[in-house]
Amino acid sequence: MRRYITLSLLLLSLVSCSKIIDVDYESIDKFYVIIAEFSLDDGSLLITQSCDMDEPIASDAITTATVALSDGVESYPLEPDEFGYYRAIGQVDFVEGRDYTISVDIDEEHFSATSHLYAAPQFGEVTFSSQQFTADMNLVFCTFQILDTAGEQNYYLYRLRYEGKENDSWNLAKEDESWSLAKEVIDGEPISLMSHLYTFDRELQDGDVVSIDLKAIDKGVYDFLYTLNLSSSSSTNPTTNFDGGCMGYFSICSTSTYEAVLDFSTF
Amino acid sequence: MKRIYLILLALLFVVGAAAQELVSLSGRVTDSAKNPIVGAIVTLKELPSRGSSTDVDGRYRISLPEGQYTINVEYIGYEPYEKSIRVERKRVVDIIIEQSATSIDQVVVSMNSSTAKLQNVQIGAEHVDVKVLSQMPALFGENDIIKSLTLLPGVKSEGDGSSGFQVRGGTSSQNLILLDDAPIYNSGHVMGIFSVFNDDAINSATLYKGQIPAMYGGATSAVLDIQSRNGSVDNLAGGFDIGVLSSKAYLECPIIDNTLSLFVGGRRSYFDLFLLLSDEYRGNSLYFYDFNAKLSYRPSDDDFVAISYFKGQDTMGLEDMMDMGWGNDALTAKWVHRFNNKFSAATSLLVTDYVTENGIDVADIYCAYNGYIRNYSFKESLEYSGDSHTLNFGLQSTWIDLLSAEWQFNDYIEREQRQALESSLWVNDQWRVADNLEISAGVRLNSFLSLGGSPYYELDSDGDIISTLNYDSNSVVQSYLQLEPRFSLNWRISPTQSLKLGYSRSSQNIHALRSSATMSMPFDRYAMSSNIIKPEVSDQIALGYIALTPTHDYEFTAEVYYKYIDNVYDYRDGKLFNSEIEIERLILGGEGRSYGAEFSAKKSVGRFTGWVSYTLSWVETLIDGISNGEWYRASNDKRHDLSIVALYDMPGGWSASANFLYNTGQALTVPSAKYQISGETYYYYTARNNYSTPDYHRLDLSFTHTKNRGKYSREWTFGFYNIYNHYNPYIVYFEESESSATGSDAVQYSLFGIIPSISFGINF
Repeated sequence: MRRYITLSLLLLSLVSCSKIIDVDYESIDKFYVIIAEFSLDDGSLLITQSCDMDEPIASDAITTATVALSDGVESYPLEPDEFGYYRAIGQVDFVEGRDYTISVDIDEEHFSATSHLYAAPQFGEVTFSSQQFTADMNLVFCTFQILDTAGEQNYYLYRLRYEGKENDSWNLAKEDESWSLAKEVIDGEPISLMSHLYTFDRELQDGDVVSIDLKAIDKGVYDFLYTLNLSSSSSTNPTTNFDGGCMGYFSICSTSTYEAVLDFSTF
Repeated sequence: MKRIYLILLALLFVVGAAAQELVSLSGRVTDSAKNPIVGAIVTLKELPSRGSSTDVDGRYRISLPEGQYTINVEYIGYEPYEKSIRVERKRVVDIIIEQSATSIDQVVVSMNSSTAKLQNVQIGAEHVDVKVLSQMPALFGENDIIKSLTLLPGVKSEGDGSSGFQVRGGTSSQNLILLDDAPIYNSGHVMGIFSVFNDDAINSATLYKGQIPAMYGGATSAVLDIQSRNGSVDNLAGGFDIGVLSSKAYLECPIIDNTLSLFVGGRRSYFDLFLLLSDEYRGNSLYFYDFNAKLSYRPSDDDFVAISYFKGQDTMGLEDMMDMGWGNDALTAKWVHRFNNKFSAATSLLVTDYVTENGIDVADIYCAYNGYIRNYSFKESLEYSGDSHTLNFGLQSTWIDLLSAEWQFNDYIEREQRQALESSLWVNDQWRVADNLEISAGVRLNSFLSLGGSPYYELDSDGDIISTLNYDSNSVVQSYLQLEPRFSLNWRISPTQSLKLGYSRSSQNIHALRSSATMSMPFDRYAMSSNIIKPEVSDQIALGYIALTPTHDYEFTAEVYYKYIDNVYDYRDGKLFNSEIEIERLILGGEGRSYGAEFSAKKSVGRFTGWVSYTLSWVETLIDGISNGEWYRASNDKRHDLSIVALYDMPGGWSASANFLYNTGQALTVPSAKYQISGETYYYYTARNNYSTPDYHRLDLSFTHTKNRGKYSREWTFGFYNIYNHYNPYIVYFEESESSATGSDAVQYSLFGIIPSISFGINF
């Protein structure tokens, strides 16, 4: 990859340069940022505030909000812990296939969002291969199948880990996207995806444990994370699933994990 | 109303009476090799207001009363021609002009453009002097017709590293660039650092930035009409030029003396030769080439047939893992037939094929990104030249096959391909109402048919697909009919002053969506008008004034304009070119407007020549769903734009030239706040394009030494691009920094500092 980038910019790099410039930033009212991530056995909500461009980023949690999680039948209040993360006071009985709503009240402002809890996604076939990408970089590629649920548009998050370490941030996938390896995407048929592992500290070795984490998410969560990834390159704001004018998202999902031990002799 | 009728009747009577007393003087201006001289100015000493400029076949025609006249012909790089003639009834005078022996004469004759501009009824038409182009400083020593255009008032560069130009608030994708009547869609080599047009192969170029004549369509901003060079019909000629990064050569020769000739020219870069010096990069490729060929056949004085072919190609590859390639093929077959002294026809067959193919092959995974635009056109253009009227009318029909994108991931392929049929009829009358008043009025009727055979969609307000519509192949999915009036008036207040007024409506059915805000890329996507995307329609009104000093040494111009464009498209928030294969899901339509004033002063005679041009302009866009549904600055909005060009011809074969460019920064979207998610900092935007990048300025210098030795001439050129090494903004991005007190930095990335260049050329 390094050579590709170098080659692409070979001409430009002959003479190009970068420097820091002064910008007279606009100052706007602060807004709340709510990140609410829940799984079957855990979950929390964090509230922070935005800050102006010409002041250091502040990550102080807001702990004065009233927060509740509801499945339409039961309502579960959430209280902040010592780090400012709001957690359910009691046991929440999450039920797959159900919509959950989170509501947040702060200083007479009300924010709410809804997320659908899908069943944990199922893995199909998983295979590994490797490629000497450059003289000093050997990449391990993982191809895996998701057993897609028929009758609905499905969205996924996945990431690879090795030896328990996170290899990359979460990747987004959706049922009909082009990066599927299938010749034709058919609703309900397995979806094949590919990702690669790279390691900064050492080469991957025989016997290393590689894990794939996979989540089924709803469209609102997918849209937020997708537009968040593009936010910098497109200079636009992500599409939040919260009502009320805050930033952030509410996600509730279950995670499936596949583990394998690398055996280079089988590649 | 009655008074208006009376005035019109009186006017017609006067014109009719005047017409009865006029006879025609016509002919053809060629060089000694019988090549037509395009854009030469033919004037009469005794009737300075009755001049004419030669057409693409070198023809001119002047209506005048019978009498004794002194005819003058001027063209840059050629000796002035003067001859006394007697005109009784109609008279045909063919004129051969001789090339200047010294470069000083090239500069003297450049005053032609001032005279032509004064007389030309078209407002905002700029004829590019190819000879002057070759004298101007150039990046890496490569003369570039597109970059020279950006020194004209009202024409702006897209920035360093771009071959695009912007006219009166339009984007480069709203321009139509024609090479021998065939459209060229991506005119850049090396991501736009060089243009694909080799100046050796260019005969003439005209930019229409204001009122576009009715014969042209398909662009809402400007039309650049480039005509390639005919081969010499009576002697072998050629030349080559060796530069720092590329070399070029051309050869022209008669195949049948005075009847059939051939021109071939080519250019190739050799970045890849430098790669061979490195063990690490030896297996990689990085080069461009272009090739021009033209076969010209003149079987009789009344017939001219030309077949021209152009190919431009860029290739960038990383051993056997990655390959990028994009390029244009353009083929034109044209037959011009003159039925008599007044009536002629030009019949053309045109083929354009723009292709981009990019692939990565790693670990048995193959990814590709491809696209193309293919045009197949028939064009018939007829011209009738009466005593006071020049009537131009014709038709053109184009079959368009457009692959907006094809994304491949191993066996899985997604593609969006559409076909369309675009047809046009036009009629335009250039009417010399009086000696000092000329009107060009016309209308173009444009029909666009989106054709079936591939999916069309119904979308909701979020851009999600509600339903997929399938139509039979070649059935009409959607039709659009546009009536486009064109009008221009030239009132010559005095022999050295004229006032011009123009109105133009034009439409565009092929829409380009740039993958990068700063330059043309192989990943740019194109879309055609459909059931969702409407034709872009622009209305422009302009008023201009031009004055020459009595000796025509100096020229002063001023133009003001207002342009409104309906159905402009921009990316939805959170969408990029590769977010969805269905391009209609990525964009939102709205309206745009631009307005401004352009001023220029030019010195055309003497050893020291040049010009100063200044533009003050505003460009804004309104799209529901973007920037809170309010008018926002278009990304190409630059308030002030200044160009200074100086050319100095020194004794001993030396000449020097300098360009200075200054423009206020272009629009930039700057965040207004920042926030954190999972430890990562993100930026919050309140409006699109709410700030400006730092101002752009640079000075370029060039020195050329020419030595003539009999039939040969050799030329050394030394150039300095950006002589004072000012790093201009190319991209500005925002990032978090621990060393910054605020935690955030705005980082400006620049492409070119000072770039020296040297080139050596021989012509024979």
